[in-house]
Amino acid sequence: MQSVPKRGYEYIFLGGENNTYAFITDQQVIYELKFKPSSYIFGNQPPFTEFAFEFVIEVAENPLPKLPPPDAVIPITLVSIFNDFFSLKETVVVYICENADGHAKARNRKFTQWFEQAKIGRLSFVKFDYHFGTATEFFYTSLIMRIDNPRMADVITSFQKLSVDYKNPEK
Amino acid sequence: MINPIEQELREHEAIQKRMVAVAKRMLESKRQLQQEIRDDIQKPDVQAAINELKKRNAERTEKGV
Repeated sequence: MQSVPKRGYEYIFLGGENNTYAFITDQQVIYELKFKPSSYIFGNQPPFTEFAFEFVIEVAENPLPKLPPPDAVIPITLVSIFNDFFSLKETVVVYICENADGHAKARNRKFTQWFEQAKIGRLSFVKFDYHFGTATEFFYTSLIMRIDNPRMADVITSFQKLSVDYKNPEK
Repeated sequence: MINPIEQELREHEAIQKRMVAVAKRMLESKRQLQQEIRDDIQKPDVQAAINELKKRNAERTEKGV
């Protein structure tokens, strides 16, 4: 049975308007994470707009000749970064899986695995998955919040409605 | 006049349209962030921070932490 690592990789906060973090794996793969303020998701309406962020994790540099292999330390690192970023209990993070290449379902599965493996952090988080689409396109999205978010029910309702006032995607 | 079932169906379709529109914008935004990450790594200040992190990681490994 594979042992669960006790601690994650050391990470740095690079800052910037999109709240960038970075860490390096044992195999020297560099990952960056960003939490971009995202007011439009809730229709530019208070009270959630100031606490809503889009989340992305991406390989910034990969010295390996192939894709980075599975790494059990990454989920632990993620939870450390989430603990750091979610200092405000009202924070809401939205994640969407890339679907252009038809692998969105696999990405969603991997993200969910990471999330499940990382459930040992200082704070407790909940993830709500919303999968929807049309006959031609399908989307895998997730909402992540601290379990003590006082507005959890309202956030869920608002996300489900996905901003009734949402009209112009350019604004 | 439309019946309640048809009304509900229309509302459901309208919500679905909005959800798809938001999802598309989220994907567009995600792609911009991914590009930003690829650009970040070329920046001297990011390189310096990454090199510092590599150094710390190496020290940690040497100490067997």
